Parts: sequence; structure tokens; C-alpha cells
Amino acid sequence: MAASAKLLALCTAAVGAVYAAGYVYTQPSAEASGVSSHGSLGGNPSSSPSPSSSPAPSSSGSAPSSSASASSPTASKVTYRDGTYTGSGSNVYGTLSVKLTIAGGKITSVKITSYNMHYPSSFIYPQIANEVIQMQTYRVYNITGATASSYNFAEAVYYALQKAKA
Amino acid sequence: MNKQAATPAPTNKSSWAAFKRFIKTPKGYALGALILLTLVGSTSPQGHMGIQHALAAVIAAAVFDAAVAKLLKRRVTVSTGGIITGLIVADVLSGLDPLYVVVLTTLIALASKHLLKRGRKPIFNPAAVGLLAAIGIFGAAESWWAGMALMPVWYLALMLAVGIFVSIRVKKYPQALTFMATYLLGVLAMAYFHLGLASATPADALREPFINSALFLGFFMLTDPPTSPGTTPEQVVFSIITGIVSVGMFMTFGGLTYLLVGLLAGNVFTAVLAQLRSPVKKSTKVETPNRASASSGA
Repeated sequence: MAASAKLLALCTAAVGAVYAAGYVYTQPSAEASGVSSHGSLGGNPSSSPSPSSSPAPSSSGSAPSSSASASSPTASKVTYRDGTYTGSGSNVYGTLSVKLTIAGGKITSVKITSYNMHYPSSFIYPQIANEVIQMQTYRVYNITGATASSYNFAEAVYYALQKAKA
Repeated sequence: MNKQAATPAPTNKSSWAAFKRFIKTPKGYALGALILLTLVGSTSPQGHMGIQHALAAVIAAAVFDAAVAKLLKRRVTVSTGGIITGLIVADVLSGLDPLYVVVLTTLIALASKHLLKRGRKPIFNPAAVGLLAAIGIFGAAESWWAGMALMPVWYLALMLAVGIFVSIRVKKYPQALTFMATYLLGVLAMAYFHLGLASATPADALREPFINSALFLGFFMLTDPPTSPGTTPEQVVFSIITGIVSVGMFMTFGGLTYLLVGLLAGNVFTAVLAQLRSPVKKSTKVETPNRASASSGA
């Protein structure tokens, strides 16, 4: 029994070592792609506009990002129906909702309708909304110092765009 | 006051004894751990949605399993297996998903438990079936929030501690450990050999929230007694299959379903193993009400 416990402890340490090795080995690519130690929740503000550094908007960062990778949701490839759509994003730092307007198949307006984040909305708004309109995508630059809010905003826009898909 | 204290309460005593017995069973440990993680996970800013979802899923599960028991003329009891399934479904689905999606996912999960059976045991992990269906049918988002995916990173230590404790108590720790070893080695191989998709990188897999989902699945879904093998050597093979298929799916398709598909592949191995050992006879009539309700279903 004691030997078995020792073996299990040894195996646990080995698995921990494998994890640590993988974590360290992938750290450069994580830094390059903007993946922080806290995943999609930010903590590593990135100003790079490469697709991989864009937010993977979901409450966990996984659902929409997978959809996003499949559908490449940029305005040039996806058509949207005209109208007004809402979406929400949330993470450990809070929740926010947006109202997004599509006119002529393009994003013409993004407004925050509810905001419950630790930092004031002025950290990200209106500049991030302007970027969404300018770039016609939810994949916008993170705003340094407000990464989590940026992700939430992107997630909210993502969900609104999902509803607007033709 | 004295009158109350002097009043004998044999029913309460027996209930307490039954409760103490229950919490020392595998289902008791699993349920206690899931309740703890659900409560802690719900302290995130949007956690109140998760709690509502968990309550709805638990109620739906209990009612559904009771209705099935009634329909099959079995003794109607509170289905702890169904409750565990409901909790897992709610714990994995994002708090942003509509409530009806959580309830329907729970019902799909439980329906799979009752329909996709080998003998009296479900073939597939019911929660995994439900969650996979939720992605396919409803396009549901999954956040694995009770895996502390939305909490600061050090909350992972809590989940690890709870997961290790429970898996040791239910004698499934080697199984969980083998899965993690296979999964992590696979991800490390992905990184070393530059395999996989640009959108689903090994760096993602080793960090929150993806690592949370792997740990949550490894500790609380993989270890479901009816859908995993009983002996340690078979559990090890089961976990290796689950880990390899999970990493293969992640590498090939990315997305959300890789862990769930991996687990279902492991479940198939369990069923095949059981079938080879003792083929199920169509006319089996060994089921009793108590034994039927004893099958888990997480």
C-alpha cells in the first residue's frame, strides 16, 4: 500500500514535470500569440493585430474561437443581415453587453448597453467600437491595460455578429 | 426547548446515517466535489447565471429520471446519478447559454443514459453525449466554469486538490493520472513537432481555460464508474485511448469537442471490453429497482 502510494506520488510528479516542460516549451509561442498565463482572460496586453493575437471571444475563449477558425468571420467573407443585434461577453472581471447595428451588410454602429466590469468603460469605449466599425470584424486590437474588457467586448460583438449572419 | 431536545428522532438519525453512508460512496464523493466546485465557480462575476443553470439542470435531471423510473415501473427515488449528470452539464455549459439549452442538454444526456445501454449500464458518459449534442444542435458555448476556467489561475489548485482527493477515494486516480499523462505528452509532442492547427495551439491547450477543461474531464467525467473499466490495467488503457483521441481531435479539428469525443472513444473501449468478457443476453432479467438506480451516469 505504501509502495503503491509512493508510486502514485512519483507518477504525479512525473505528470507535473511533463506539464511544466510543455508549459515552458510553449511559452515563447504563447507570448507571441498573446496567450497569457490566464488564457483568454488576458493579463498580457498585446498590441499586435495578427489574427492569433486577436481575442478568442467566449466566456472561456474556446467556443467562438473554434467557430471563428472555421468560418473566418471577417466582413469580406461573411454577409450580415441588416438590423440591430445584441451580444454579451463575460469573464472573471465582469460582464458587458453591446448593441450592434448592421446597415448595407456592414457594421455601422456598436454601442455598449450594459457594463459591469472592474474598470470603467472609458478604458475601451469608444475607441474599440470604432475599431470594430473600421475593421468590420470582432477581431480588434486589445487595449493595453484593459485586456479583459477588450476580450469581453470582442466576445459580445462576436455573439451579435453570429445572430446577424445571413 | 427541552421538549424538542427530548423528542426522539429515529427517522432523522437513520436519515443522517444513510447520508453519512452515501457521502462515502463514489457517487457521494463525486456529488460533494461537484457541488463544492459549482459553488466556488459561481463566485465569478457572472456566476449567478451558472448557479441558476445548475439548479435548473438538477431539477430537470431528478424529474426526468423519476419519470423514467415511474414509466419502467421501478422504485422512484432521487436519482443522484442524474443529478451528477445535470451538475456536470451545467458546470460545463457557459453561463451565457440560454437556460433552455442547459435543460435540454441535461435531458439529452439522461435520455442517452437510458437508451444507449449495454445491459443495465450506459455505454457512453451521459454528460459527454449531452454536451456534444449541445454543440451540434444548439451551437452552445462551453466555458467549463466549474473547472475554475473563469477564476484567477490559483483557483486551479483547489480543483486539483478536490479532483485528486475524489479520484483517490473512488480508486480512479491512476486512471485520471494516465489520462493527464497521455494528454500532456500528446500536447508536448504537438509543440515539439509543430503539429496541429494555427487556431488550436499546444500553448492554448496547456493554459487556461483549456487545461481546466482537461482536468475537469479527467477527474470528474472520465472516472464515471459505469462507463469506465473496473480494473486498473484496463483503466490505464481506457485513459490512453481517451487521451490519444482527444489530442488527435484537438490537433486535427481544434474546437471544443475534442475532449468529449476522446471520452466517448474510451467508453466504446469499455463497452467492447465488457462485451468480450460477458456478452449481454437480450433476455436478461436480473435488474432490481435498487440496482437499476445505482448506476451512476455522470
